[in-house]
Amino acid sequence: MKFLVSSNDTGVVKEVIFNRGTDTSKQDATQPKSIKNFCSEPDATRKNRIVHMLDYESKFLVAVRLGGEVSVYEINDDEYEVEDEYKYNLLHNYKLEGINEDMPVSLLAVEELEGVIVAYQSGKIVIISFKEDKFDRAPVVVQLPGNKTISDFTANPSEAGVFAYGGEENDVRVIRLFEKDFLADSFDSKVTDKHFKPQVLFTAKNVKNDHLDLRVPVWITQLRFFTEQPESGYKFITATKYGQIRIYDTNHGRRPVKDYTVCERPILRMTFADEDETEVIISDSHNLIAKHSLVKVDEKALKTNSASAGTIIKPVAKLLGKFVDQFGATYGIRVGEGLLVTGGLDRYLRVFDLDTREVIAKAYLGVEIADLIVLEYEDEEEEEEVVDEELLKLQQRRRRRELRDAEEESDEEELWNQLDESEESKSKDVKRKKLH
Amino acid sequence: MAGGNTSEALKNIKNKQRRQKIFGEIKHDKNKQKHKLRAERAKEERLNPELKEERLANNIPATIESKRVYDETIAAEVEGEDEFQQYFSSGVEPKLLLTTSENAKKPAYEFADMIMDFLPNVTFIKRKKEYSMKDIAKHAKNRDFTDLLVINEDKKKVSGITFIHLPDGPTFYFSITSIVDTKEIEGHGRATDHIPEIVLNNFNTRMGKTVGRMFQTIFPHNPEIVSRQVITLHNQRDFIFFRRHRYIFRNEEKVGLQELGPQFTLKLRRMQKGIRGETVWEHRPDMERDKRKFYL
Repeated sequence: MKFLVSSNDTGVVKEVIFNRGTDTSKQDATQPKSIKNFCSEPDATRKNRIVHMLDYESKFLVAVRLGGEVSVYEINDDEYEVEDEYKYNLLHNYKLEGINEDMPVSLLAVEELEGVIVAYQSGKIVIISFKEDKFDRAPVVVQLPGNKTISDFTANPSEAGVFAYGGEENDVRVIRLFEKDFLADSFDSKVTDKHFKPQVLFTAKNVKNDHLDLRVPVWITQLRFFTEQPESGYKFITATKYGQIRIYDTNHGRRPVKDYTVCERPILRMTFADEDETEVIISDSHNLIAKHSLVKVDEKALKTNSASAGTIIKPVAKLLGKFVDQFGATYGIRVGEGLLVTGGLDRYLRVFDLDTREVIAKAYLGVEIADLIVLEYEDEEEEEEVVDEELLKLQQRRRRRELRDAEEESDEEELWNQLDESEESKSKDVKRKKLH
Repeated sequence: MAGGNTSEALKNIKNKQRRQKIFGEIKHDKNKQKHKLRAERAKEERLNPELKEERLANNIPATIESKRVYDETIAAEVEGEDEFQQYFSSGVEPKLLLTTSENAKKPAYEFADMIMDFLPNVTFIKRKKEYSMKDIAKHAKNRDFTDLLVINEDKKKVSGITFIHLPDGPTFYFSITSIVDTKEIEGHGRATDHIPEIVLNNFNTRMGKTVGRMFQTIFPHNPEIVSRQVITLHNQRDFIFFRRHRYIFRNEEKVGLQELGPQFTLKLRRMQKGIRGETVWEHRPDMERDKRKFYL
């Protein structure tokens, strides 16, 4: 398995290669094959650490750094052995103006633009095109409507140009950033923010007041569109700072269709756990990583006692299990091939089995992890050892044959000895043979 | 076995008082024998010190520390920078703000007084209910404080202390036990206002190194060696013992120590990023199930 992990402490990217069964916390277990630092250009430190990373079509590694930098590195083909010096070369470093201390909140690849969109907390999004693998086009900065801070920005996978975002006291908005027929061809150096006029398609409405008639605070932290969208309108899921996950269907009004409180702490990351998108994995600011079903519901999972309203019972999306091994909050979560890869503040990279929830491999990296990318899920074949085993077998077979021959020989010798006791010369010959 | 015989013999004595008396006698004899053996051995070893060395080399007791579970973070090299980098690289002098939990009672103020004795450049403010810890941290940040310390008191007992490193965290919460005031320490000395030296013992794991660095940033860079005062933070089995001494080098081999007090014990309960942000590490009761696993 091969991973790229961004490091908070040093600002570099670590390439980690290990196989199943690796566990650095046990001396006698398998140890990782290699952990190496890359992408130290341009002057990577803690101050310009990488917050989000993206594997752009297996060609580029796009890394958003703090302080308004976006670095693009080369991802080499696996077919050729490349020396470490030439791995992950810096291809271009975009310096975005007017970003400074703004926190990047998300990084998306956008096919239609042949590039990426970086969203910042202040509500600015930066569109960068890599058309024809060239990096000379100036990034376009667009301000999202709402003028409030945002915590996530996401794309609709089934409709080009449609995005959604939300944040602190900033309920979900679905926007059209560009028309479907917008083509990357028209994205040249003349394209400015005037070409992108965000048009609000949908604004969510806060849920109803609680049993004390108090307003429920809004703070969206994560947003994901379902791949299967209704014919008209949109269907998406949000996670909040207050531990709720909510499912919206724009055909069913502006309020969420489903609203479940799944944990007590802020949800940091949320991702779909399977291809059918019936399960989600959430991580909170503490040390929770949990898998919840979106289909099965625990009708009586959440009980609240209220003096005025009596006991209030609320349904919760069924908890399918927790992943337990980590001490701290988890920032990097990737799901694929039945595996869950996580990395966070406790400086470990872990691989869990999605079904059994067991740790398949873990490695101590020594740096806090902000984001990670999985380059390969398959274990590296251990060709050398296979060859060794065959050799060993061959050797064993040879040794056995030799032993057998020697035995036969010695039998013969005895016979000869008995027969030709008188003939000394012959027996001497045999003795010499025996020595061999 | 003799033990089996004695217990058999004792069982046959029906009178409880006689039984107890005889049992006492047997025990006394055994003890006497043990002491006699020891005295003999000591005598032998005094004549021949090699024997003692050999015996000590052969009988190394197994302790929890020696059986410590392997921790890969101890040997691993520390990479990159952390939030304390500014203190070490640009020589910022620490400036501390000390306060208590809301509605603090007498013990909290007494403890504050106790620790203000050795904390350098510290300002105490009375806690006001209307400001949360985040508010106080924000105000302190604007006034160039480098650390915010909040004493936690519960039911008239000091139960914990929060260290918030400013401007960007991290936050540590320690529980406090075994507070001993200077006055209660026999033969204690009187501390002076000099900046003490600091000794950090056994902060080995990655987590421990961070905790150690945090304690380092509380004290100024240049201890006043004239005062011969030293503060020790000794970590053993994840308990951090605070002690303060005055030392004197009597000759080339002997060092005299005089305790200055106070004493208390800290235990890390939680570490968070930023100002009470995301958890990096939190103590759980089940972490104590394996007695040989330590986190600092």
